Amino acid sequence: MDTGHNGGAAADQLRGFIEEVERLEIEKQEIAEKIKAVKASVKGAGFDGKVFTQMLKERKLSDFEREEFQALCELYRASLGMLNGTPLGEAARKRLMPKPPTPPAGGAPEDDTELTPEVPAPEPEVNLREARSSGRAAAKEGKRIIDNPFTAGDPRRAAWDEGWCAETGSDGMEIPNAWRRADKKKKVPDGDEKPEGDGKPEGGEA
Amino acid sequence: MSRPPFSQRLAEDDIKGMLSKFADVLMPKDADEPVLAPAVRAALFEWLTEIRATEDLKDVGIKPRRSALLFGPPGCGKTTFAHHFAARLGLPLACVRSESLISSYLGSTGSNIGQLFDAMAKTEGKVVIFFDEVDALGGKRMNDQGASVERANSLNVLLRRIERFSGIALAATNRQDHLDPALWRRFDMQISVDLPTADERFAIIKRYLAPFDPTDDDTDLLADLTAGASPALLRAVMEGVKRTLVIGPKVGRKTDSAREVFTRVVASVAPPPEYTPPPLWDEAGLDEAAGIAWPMPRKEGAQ
Repeated sequence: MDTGHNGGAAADQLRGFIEEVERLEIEKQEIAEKIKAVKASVKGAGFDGKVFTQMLKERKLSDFEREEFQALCELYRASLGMLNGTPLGEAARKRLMPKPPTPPAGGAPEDDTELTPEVPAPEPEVNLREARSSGRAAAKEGKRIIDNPFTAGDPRRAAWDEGWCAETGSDGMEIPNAWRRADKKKKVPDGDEKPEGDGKPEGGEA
Repeated sequence: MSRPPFSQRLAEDDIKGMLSKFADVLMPKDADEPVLAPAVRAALFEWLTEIRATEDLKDVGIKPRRSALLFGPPGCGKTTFAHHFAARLGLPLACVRSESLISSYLGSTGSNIGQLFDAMAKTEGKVVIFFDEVDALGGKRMNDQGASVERANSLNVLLRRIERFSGIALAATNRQDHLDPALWRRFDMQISVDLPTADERFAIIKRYLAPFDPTDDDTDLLADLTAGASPALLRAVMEGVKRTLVIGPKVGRKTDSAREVFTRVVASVAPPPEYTPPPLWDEAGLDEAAGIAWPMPRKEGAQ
């Protein structure tokens, strides 16, 4: 393209940028083709392509992330009866996990089957209990209900929330004490049956 | 707790980047304490429980509901509802800017809606979508002429995409009569977010008058005098009071009585014309407001 009479330095600069990106795009494509070729040789050498790709993924993870991922995989396999474990181990597993694995309790789409570390784990009952008591403790400390430390879709998130609500005897949407009547004998407002505040930490309720 | 898993770490910037063209993303940690009416709270809590009981519902052959339409007077906390709901699930809320979807070019609005849902699909259901003022996109289809055809086409796209959307969708409108019936039906739930009751008004007044801290009796009196006011109106009045207290003396206005201050404030903010004004908007109400202890006490240690 000719810069014409309107071009000048700006047009040159623009063309420079465009050409730079075009050049990089070509490089990107070349590299992609090289990777493809390497993968083809991997298969040619008798390695399993899928496993090879999985290793690539796993090497990107830190030790912690890899361990977490593997632990989750084990848990999933165990829940799905894919471990062919010893009778004793199997019996212990059944005792711990009476139910099949639960998909995320909320948020994640149903077709989310991608095998990545972010797939929420079906937690053993014991962990759910811990999450519930940690929710209770958080409520006692005056933390907000939205300060839930577990990620979306993790069953422990729901357990933490339940614990918080159980501790405060509320639905997590009580009006904070700072904005409530200090005086308990105040009138009952129109149609609202909420219990009165009792000096618990903010958000707390009897 | 150990470090948060992947999904949380990559979340914020990536999600904002993916959706920035059409939506503002509100993160769970930024949600405010909601001050909602009991019935609305009950609906929200029930829905949360339902989503968490996905497995149990599956046992009886049903799925949790995934979409809700919030309707009610302006300024009653529809956005707060949506933000709190998403925050309880631990998900960001994408507040769609209707103006970024609507285009003057033929077919572009529909195409923008498509792009928005494509971007949402990339978030793999980890973001709740919220269409505020959805009537801007989903008004009743009228006739088959001119711009109406384009509007109807865009609405068809919206209907289809909401139907196919696998995540959680919320929409809000204060013009429910104006909404296309097909859009209304497309949502699993229709929740009325109405004017606050006395307890909520009390809390809202406390919240927006801070650092001023009138006695409970005075706050109750204000809550009575503002019966029928929306949270947004209450906020405007309380902030108006604070503004008058600061600015008034600088422009030579007296601020030494509650009546004077409230008279000035209600002269410049008013409920929407279709609503009966609360008592504070007439002389008798202002006379009652004069009974508030003045100057209002200030909370110690507040800003």
